[in-house]
Amino acid sequence: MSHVDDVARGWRSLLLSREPAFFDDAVVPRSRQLVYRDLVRNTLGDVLRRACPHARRLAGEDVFSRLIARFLDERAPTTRLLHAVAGEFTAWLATLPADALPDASFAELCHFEALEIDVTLSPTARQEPPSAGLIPDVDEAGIVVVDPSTRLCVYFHPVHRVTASTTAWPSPLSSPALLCCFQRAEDFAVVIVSPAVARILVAAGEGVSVGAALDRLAAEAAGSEAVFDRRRARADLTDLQRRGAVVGFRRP
Amino acid sequence: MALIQSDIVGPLAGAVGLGFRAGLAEALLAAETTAASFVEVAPENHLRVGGARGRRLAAATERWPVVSHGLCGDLAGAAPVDEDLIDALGAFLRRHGARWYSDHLCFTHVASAEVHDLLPLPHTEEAVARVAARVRLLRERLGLPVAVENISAYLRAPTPAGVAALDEPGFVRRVVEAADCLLLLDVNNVYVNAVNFGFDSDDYVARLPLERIVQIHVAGHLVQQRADDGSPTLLLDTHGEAVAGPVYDLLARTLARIRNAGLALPPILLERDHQIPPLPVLEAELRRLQRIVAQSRGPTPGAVEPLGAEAVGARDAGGT
Repeated sequence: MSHVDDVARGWRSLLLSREPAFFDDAVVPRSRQLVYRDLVRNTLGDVLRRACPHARRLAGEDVFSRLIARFLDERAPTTRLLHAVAGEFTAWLATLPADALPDASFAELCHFEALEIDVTLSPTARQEPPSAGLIPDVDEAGIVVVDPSTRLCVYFHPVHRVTASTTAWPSPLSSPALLCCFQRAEDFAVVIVSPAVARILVAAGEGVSVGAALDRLAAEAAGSEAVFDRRRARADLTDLQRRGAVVGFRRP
Repeated sequence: MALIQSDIVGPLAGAVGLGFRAGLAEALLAAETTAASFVEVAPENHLRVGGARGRRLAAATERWPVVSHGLCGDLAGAAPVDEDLIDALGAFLRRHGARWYSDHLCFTHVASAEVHDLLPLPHTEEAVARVAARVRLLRERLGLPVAVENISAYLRAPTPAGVAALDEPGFVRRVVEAADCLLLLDVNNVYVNAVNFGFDSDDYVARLPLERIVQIHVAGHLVQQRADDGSPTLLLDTHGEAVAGPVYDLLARTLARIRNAGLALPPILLERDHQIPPLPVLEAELRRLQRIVAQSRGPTPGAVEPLGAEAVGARDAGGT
């Protein structure tokens, strides 16, 4: 039985629950306990408000604040890195039923906004160079090597088009948007990629070469009505490399 | 591990530095000259981080010695240490030539939640033992001396029925002794707590193991006042205000005490995390700190004159 652990649990109940359980008022003045509750919740809330400005504006301050409060009460951050709290918030939003959110696009928009922080804080290949032996041109025997900041995402709403002047929630897309997000010149860059390129990038994460991934796509297209353009997929990879999302290719 | 304060402080003895925060990093790097002769970073804000923030840290590293001060060590935590985080922290400290590593004497992780704030511990022998074990583990894993920092507080955590709590300086001393570690003394936190809990800040400092003080923090605080007579009801350690006059005075008396003990003057860091003013305002505060250090090094130990409030932004928040 640890008193230190009891106090730690007491802190959590005081700070991160909807109905705070206070330490004994006779020992610890309640007004001082509330100081800590406000400090902690305001600090974490401010981090999330700053992280998701568009989602916050479209949802309205009250709705967004209620979701923050619910996150703090029901899940709470577990990361020791403050800049990673927004990522935990958006992961939690993705677990909520649709009727708990202000719009069908809300969780995606928050995710995209948190992603921008993640990408812009990420090291790049310039800061963390990949191991030597990279092949600079598209090499079908090679595996794609992406910049450390590159993230591939699928969204069902055009959340990447939301700006400060957007006044309505984004409508659902007829087909999902595949976004390759990465850091370029210390800024956040987004490129819409084809399903073929997305498959090649995912395959690279599994150690599959460009050629093998292309063969797989060609085989799938042969058995369907889909058109697969191998040359176009290679050109798209070259384009991603030119932009900085891909840094080269390595032989297995 | 033998902890010789002067050896650990080394070339940073009596140096004045500034917290390298995102809100002032660009301005500080752009300044041709600065009174800051070292910078302090929170590794948690830089681990696995690149981009502009990484570039700025790299530039700072080329220009100044970097001191690392952790935020989330959770020194009293029950949870196992985060092995990946410790490894990343160790690599960070090696890369920046750290002479020691410091973190706060508090909870930051409570019952599986990370609060990103500094929560008071119960001042008990159980907490002493818990912190000491974690500090020793950190020291072993990092291969560096570890310092604990006294925190500001607005309440005293409850203690078990029938168990007498140590008072704050007693608790800090016990931790330093039990962990055989160093102390980062935050004089603003001493002053804030002295007002909030009604004790004498000089008595507090006198009871600390001065030979273990490897760094000093100075910061500003916010004064909450009674509506009727304006007397302070609570001081909040915001790091968002100018350093208050009584904190400068306490620093001067503390440095005199350290010098009178024949010890090296620790490096002194100005913390400013919020409402960051233009750099010249902070430079004025740094220069005032330099003057205090210079006076402390003067020919007559212990004869440090109280400094006036001539520096930019200085204000008196009321005496202890």
